[in-house]
Amino acid sequence: MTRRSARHGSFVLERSYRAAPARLFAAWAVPEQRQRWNVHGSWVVTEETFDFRQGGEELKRFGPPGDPVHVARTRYEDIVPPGAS
Amino acid sequence: MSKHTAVHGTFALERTFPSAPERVFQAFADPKAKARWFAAPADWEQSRGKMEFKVGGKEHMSGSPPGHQAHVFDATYLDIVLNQRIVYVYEMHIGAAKISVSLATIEFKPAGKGTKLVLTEQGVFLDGYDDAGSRERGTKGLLDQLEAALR
Repeated sequence: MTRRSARHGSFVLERSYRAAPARLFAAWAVPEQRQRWNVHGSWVVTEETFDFRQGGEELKRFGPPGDPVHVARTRYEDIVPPGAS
Repeated sequence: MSKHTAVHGTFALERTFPSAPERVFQAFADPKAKARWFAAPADWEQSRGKMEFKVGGKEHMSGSPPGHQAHVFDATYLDIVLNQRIVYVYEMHIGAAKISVSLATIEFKPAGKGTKLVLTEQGVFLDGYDDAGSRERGTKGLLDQLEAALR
């Protein structure tokens, strides 16, 4: 039987980039741009769906070559583009 | 300057009930049992959507204080372990404004013949909405109502 447990965690990262906010935002919002950076080192992505909008849900299957055991499910709860009033 | 702000907050509540974990869990899992305690104050106008208690399922509730805009609760269940744990994410709106997004974890632990319930919320309050502890107080009020419903 599985021993169930739940531990809570939280972290905050800060980084400054030379690019303007609109360009950084596009690095998440535009699938071709996100694919350019959103993978760990030599790991591979074997499945990836994009649905960048409020309420949108995405799935990404990834991991070391030959063993893509990690699955990330993302649901966007809130999106405010740069410059939105 | 942007009026779009995000303030993070977290709180945990613990409560022990004389009822067994199965019964306390049921008060969250069964729509009719949940409606007995997860409810707006009596003088609010209230409406409920269909509650889908399964991973990926949704829950929707709306309530309006007399003469005021509706408070809207929209949840998605992310993890369910029978009689042990429920994890869901929920958005709160007041009128058209989204005021918060929260991750809620509810754990049901045996305590003698009863149940220790641990509720943890990790949330973000949006666009100047000043929570000032009201979510924690409101959640305590809901647990009071749950306690009464289990009697």
